[in-house]
Amino acid sequence: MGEIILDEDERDCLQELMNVAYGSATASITEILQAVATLSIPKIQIINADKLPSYLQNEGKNDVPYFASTQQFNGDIAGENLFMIDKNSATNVALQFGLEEHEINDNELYDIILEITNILSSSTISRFSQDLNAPVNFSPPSVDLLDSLMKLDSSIINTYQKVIIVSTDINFEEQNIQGHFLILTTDESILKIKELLNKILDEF
Amino acid sequence: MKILVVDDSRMARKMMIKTLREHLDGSEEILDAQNGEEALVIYQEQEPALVFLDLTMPVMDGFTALEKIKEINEHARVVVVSADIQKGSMDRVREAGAFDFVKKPITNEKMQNIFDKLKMI
Repeated sequence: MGEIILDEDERDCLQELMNVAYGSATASITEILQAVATLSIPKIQIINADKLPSYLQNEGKNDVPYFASTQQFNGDIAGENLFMIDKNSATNVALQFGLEEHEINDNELYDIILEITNILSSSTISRFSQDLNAPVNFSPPSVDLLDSLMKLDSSIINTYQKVIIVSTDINFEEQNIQGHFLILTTDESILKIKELLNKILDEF
Repeated sequence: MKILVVDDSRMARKMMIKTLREHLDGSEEILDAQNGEEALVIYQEQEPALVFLDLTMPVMDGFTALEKIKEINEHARVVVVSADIQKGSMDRVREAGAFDFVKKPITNEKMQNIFDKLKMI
């Protein structure tokens, strides 16, 4: 497959759709955590999948444990959402949920991160797929605790050749919570997204 | 009255049950299940008056569970609670006979709306 690129209009259109989709997700997350969250403006890049671990290493904190949670979606567009949150931030999420420190263990954190991922991922992709008129189905999310972001499951990397990265940072400043949310898609889906973006662009 | 809460996330079930209790008088029995298959077994045995059902779950998803619950009892009151807010998903659960569709996460206000609608029946 040749080089896949988004031109300026396509990138702008995708950025706008993602702003709206992440806005929907932010509203849900602030409702669940009852705290004020900010999501950074989504950054859009297309990179080779094998560059993903080093990309993540640059985006996150080095050598600290991370929960990496994924949720697949399939349909007219297919891919995987990846939510990464360092263990300290995850613990702060649990405290924000009302758990006492002595109640917090890895199992509780797994469960909380899975539910946060489900809401973040489903809200974002539901809105995005609706705006693109490309229905999708969701699989239940799964989560791993990694020693560092470099240990990301190689199956994720092997599934994709190119990945379109739509990333945002989620910050709850008062609670000291930071997370990273990425959407990874297959080459075919990147082409499908380009096609659907152009349909939207043709309407204006 | 028995109420069944179905979600694969323990945290989501806890949140739902905590919110529910704030709208109940304490006489109700709250049951829970972590997937559609478990929900069906409990539904057949316990015949809850109200079901809160997540959509994205392992083993059996909420779409299938809703259809099967409706086969058991066409008058079953099932409230779908999901972050999947695609029109197609909402249409599908409404066509399958869901009583209501609520966007996750559940809040006191959303729960109050559900009980207000239930009172109008």
